[in-house]
Amino acid sequence: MSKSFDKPSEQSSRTLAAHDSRAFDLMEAPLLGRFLRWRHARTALQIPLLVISILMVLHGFFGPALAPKNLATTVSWVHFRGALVFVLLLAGNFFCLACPFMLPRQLARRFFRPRYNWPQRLRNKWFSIALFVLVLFAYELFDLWSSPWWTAWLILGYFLAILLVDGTFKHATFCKFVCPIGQFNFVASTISPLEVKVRNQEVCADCRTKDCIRGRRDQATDPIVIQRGCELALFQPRKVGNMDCTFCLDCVHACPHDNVGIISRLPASELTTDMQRSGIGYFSRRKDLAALSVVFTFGAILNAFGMVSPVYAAQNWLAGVLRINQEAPILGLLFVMALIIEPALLLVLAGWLTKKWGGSRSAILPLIIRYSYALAPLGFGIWLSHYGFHFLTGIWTVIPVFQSALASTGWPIMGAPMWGLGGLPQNAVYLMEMGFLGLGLLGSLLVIYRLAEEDHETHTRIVFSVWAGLCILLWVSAIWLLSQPMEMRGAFIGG
Amino acid sequence: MTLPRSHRDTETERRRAGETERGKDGAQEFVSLLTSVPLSLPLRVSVSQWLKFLAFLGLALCANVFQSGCHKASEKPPDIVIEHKLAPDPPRTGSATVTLKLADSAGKPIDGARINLEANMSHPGMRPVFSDAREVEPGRYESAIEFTMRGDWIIIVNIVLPDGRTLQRQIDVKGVLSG
Repeated sequence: MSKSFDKPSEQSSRTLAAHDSRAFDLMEAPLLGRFLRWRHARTALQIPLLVISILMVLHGFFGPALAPKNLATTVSWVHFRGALVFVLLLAGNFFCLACPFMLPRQLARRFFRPRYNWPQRLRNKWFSIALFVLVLFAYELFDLWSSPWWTAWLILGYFLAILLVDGTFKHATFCKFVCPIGQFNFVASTISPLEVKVRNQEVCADCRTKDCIRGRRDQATDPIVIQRGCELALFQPRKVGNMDCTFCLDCVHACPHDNVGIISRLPASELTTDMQRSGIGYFSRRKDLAALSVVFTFGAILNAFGMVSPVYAAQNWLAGVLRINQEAPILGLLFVMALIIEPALLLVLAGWLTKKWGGSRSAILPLIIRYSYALAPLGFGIWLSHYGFHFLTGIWTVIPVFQSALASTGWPIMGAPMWGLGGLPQNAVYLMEMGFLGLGLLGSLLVIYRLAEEDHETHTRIVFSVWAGLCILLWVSAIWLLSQPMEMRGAFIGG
Repeated sequence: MTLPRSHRDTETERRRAGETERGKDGAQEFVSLLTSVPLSLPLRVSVSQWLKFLAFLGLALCANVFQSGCHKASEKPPDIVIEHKLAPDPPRTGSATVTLKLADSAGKPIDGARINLEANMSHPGMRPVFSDAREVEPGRYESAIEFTMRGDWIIIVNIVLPDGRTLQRQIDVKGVLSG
């Protein structure tokens, strides 16, 4: 028997939301918990990252033009991305917590209070998905990895965009509806083992002030907020999972009952349920979120495809067939094929087979939306393998770049640059890459099985096989791609 | 327009929780923002002033960057002629030989120079490859270099001339293929 998805199930919502007393709470951890409870913990994390960002921008503009010798490119494309995925894997969305872009925004808001609400038509993920794809496209087209100058502009552009958006629109508009990195983090953090959530729902049931979302005031009627609540409209008692959560800890500091923690959970468990989520609604009704998960997964394959040899053969072939000598249209075509046509064909086929073989009464689109979220663990595994490769094989390369940057200012306190520093051997890292891919596939298969079990009691194995087949196909593609010899080139055509 | 349920949920959360901030219709607000209607804001900063400030900041940075780019372009080349040759050509992964010929502006070979090479990939995070060049005949130097990976490479040639002057040249090696 199968269920229709028109009425999302509330099943297991309480079990997911309830806090297991055996769970680990990071806020209770010695030292770290105490630090995170400190009201200025976020600022203390943001300041060093802001300083590093400023150094990256300055070095990008005025430092060496060679990417491996410049802080902007080395830190952005090797260390930031790598550290980001490992922190997401091992903890949660702590990079959004420490986001340095928020600091100038906070400063600006001391002088300028935005009065507008983000337009209702844009209150979804479509705009940020477009920006996410645009960043991936620009990365390939302008070879951002090899250009300190463009990388510096990208960082600076980010600062300016935040000042413009959050200087104009209320709440955390940029984080929730615009930021491409944030959307990446939101999807990836569904796989994270930690979640900001309520410790005891009964305490919230008795709460009258709702400070976690309204913000804390001295008096309930006082218009002045002394500690803001969640700017992303996530009301803690009804918040589920990490989607849209920046780990800013505003709710932690605002809660007068000290009832919000950073609590361990089963990674990806939030993908197996479809309950009403505060600030999000039902996953099954969010086409935009499902599309984000699909773009996140297929984008991971496309991004890895961009660094291996076959991409040049494919581009040259396309250029020859279409008689086009410019890179942008060829690259655009590849993006359309990889992010629209290929996913559409595969997902429609999987949805159709689910309906035909699984006896589902639901239409194909709701089925696709439902199972799209199950791709996220595999997608994350691919991103992790790719970014982990660069991070681990080049982990020490940042040291000589810092040494060189300091020496160029006439302040060589770290000594002469040790350019021979590299990282872990590629053979060892390759094994880790395969492990990450396997972990991602396993996560997706478990989510699919859980969904199939819940939706198709009598056809669980058939429905599981269909979607597992899709994941295995993507997994094999990723293994093939990451086994190809790496080849980073500036010009695609004619090479 | 009827909002998707999830967005109504978001608004409902805020109202339920007692949040009282209300604005105009989002689309109207957006239009009025674009037309830069001055508003009474704290510290008397209007939206138009805010946008102008950001535009000014952007332009100032552009000017700064382009100015610095012009300075770099106006550097004078030294009076040394350096020719380079790479074998195999097209380059392949594995060992390659870089041959350098040094001559002064009159074409006279420069012997006795000390040369070392550093090869980097265009992507950061890759370990560079180093080698020293040896003089095989007056003014002609050879160095073996190992291209460890396919793709674009950049070779930095560091030269110490017999008179103590130092030079640096960059050789772009596009599209190293499989060996």
